[in-house]
Amino acid sequence: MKRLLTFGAAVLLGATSTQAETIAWWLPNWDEKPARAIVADYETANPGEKVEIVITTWDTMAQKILVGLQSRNAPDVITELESRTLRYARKGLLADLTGVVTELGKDDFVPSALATGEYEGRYYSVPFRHDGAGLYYNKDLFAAAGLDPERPPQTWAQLVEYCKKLTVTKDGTTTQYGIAWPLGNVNNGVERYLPLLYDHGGKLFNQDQTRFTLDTPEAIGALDAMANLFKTGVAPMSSLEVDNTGLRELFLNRRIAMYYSGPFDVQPILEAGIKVGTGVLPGLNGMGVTTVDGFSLIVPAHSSKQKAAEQFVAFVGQPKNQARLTATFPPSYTALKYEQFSSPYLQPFIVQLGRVENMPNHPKWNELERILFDNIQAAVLGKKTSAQAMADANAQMNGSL
Amino acid sequence: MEQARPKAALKRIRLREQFAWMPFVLPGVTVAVLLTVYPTYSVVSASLFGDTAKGTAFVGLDNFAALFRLPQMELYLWNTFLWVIISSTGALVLGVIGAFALEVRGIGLRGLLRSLLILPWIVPHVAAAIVWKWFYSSEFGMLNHVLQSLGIIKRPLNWLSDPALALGAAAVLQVWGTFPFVMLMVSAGLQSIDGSVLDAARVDGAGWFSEAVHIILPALRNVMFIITLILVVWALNSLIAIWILTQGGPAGATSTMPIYIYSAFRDFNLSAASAASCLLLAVSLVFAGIYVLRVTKGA
Repeated sequence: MKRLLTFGAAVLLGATSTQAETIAWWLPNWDEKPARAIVADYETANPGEKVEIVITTWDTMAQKILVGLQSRNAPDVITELESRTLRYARKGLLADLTGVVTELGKDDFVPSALATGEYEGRYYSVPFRHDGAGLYYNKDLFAAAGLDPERPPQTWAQLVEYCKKLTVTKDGTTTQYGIAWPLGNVNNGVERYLPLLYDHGGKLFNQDQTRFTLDTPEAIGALDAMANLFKTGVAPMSSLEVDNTGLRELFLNRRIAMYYSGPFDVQPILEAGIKVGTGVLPGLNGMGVTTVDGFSLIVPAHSSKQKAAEQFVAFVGQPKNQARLTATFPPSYTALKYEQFSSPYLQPFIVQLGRVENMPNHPKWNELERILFDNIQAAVLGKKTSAQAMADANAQMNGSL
Repeated sequence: MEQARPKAALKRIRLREQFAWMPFVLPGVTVAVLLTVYPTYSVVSASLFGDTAKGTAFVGLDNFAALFRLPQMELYLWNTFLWVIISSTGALVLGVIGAFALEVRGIGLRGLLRSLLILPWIVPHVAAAIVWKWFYSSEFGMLNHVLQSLGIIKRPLNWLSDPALALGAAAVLQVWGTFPFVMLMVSAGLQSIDGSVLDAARVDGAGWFSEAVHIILPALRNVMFIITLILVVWALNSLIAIWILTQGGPAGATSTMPIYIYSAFRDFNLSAASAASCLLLAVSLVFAGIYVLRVTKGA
């Protein structure tokens, strides 16, 4: 009997200890391959520890994570968009990861990346991917238009001038445009307007984020800059049909000579055999502003295995693992110096990280950006002047606050 | 006493026979009720709660009031009305024409034709919408190419980025996806018409117009009524066509109530999404109620 009891206790203890060392990690499908390799290394380095991977997708991850966190039914570690992190932190749904960030070296992180998880002086996420946009241009089309293929436009005025030269019309039909924008998708479209707003010196909100400030001359000027490209015919109206991926298709098919996108487009463009060049975003006075976003690791506040989760997050947050997991850039300065990020195509994107603004993290932002988007479209279509569009957007968005 | 016992046993047997269906039916009914009642309860309940200074709390009808204070609500309702009218009427007209065409005497390969015409209804809606998006593309679209080749248009039209065209273009996709249902239902209705009545009318000198007005259309009245109700309910709840083609743009030209609900849900605004869903549910229930009454009456 005594033996039996001892055996039972051993089985129970064994079961408990195994369970305590198995943590679950939700991550998006595009990260699966490097994530599995990192998990294998972690399990080898930490015998007895287990990490169970659950795959999410872009379309479903936001809802799944929100519902999981609110219903206290989420796993121990989650990969989530940087710009969504603060919403959960404000509601007390995330574990404090300040200790992990300190251990990894706060100064080694690009500040804008760390800021995406900072709330009341504490850090609630560990970023591993962080990027903004840069300029892509077709070198062959530049040469054909008499432009130097090694010198992309440096200022907004130059961009406008280049667009005119790169727009080709045959028999009354435009066959090639200077530039296009992803104005067929709410998030993509607004994400392209905001850098113009910041570059013009405008702000989305007042200091304490209680009022939108879109009826300012800066905000109107930024919209004018975009809308004028359509009015002058150097940007196609089909911009209103495409998202970022559709925009890349237009570029690959030589329908446009330039466009803005993240560093993830380099590879597919090179694979398509296009002679591509990259540059920083042209601004009013030199390099413009890009909005940045990326992905972070978060730990739900309700996780019963927080210590194990934090240990794993600290492992993934190491520069070498950030570099393995990121599909674009890591936010670690150490990792950014690695060979894999030394491609000349990627250098402008790294330089561009020196002038960035984070995506808005206001709790009602996603709900209200649609209003801004509709008004941007209205201005581009010529249904409203830029001043009218921004005044309407401002009034409607403030009304909804 | 002796007689009472067999009587009671007989009663028990009868009762058992009377309720013998229950074990077979109850599981299905229970699942169906749970799948219908619980989500409805959940949505109605969420529509009455909202974020307050003290966290999530009961707010009564505030979410509904907030819905009608939205500056774009008038546009959403108007677009929804237009969308329902255009897509339901289009599907009805095309479906009836298709059904009549299939009944024309002497038409060959009727079965094959019917199968081909049903295809749009079978194709997964998302896949179909993506194909149509390419079809409409003002840069690479087949539609503009064909129309230009035929000399109908001189320059490519912006089917999805011109506010004047976008809602109609999206409605064409909805019509394309639903007209086969109308065609099938009308075909079934046509086949149920007694051939001898038509023969008698012809003997009496009735032309095709008289046949249609006095015999065929009255015979199809019930079918058409039910089809119309179903089409309206489908259109009221339709999201995929518009979301994939335009996401409610350009400048709100295709923003309907389902687009608002989906956007609100994606933006974590569950209270607003639930309130709008309740509103749409109420409108759909009116049509569904008429449908049920009609079917029950018919039965």
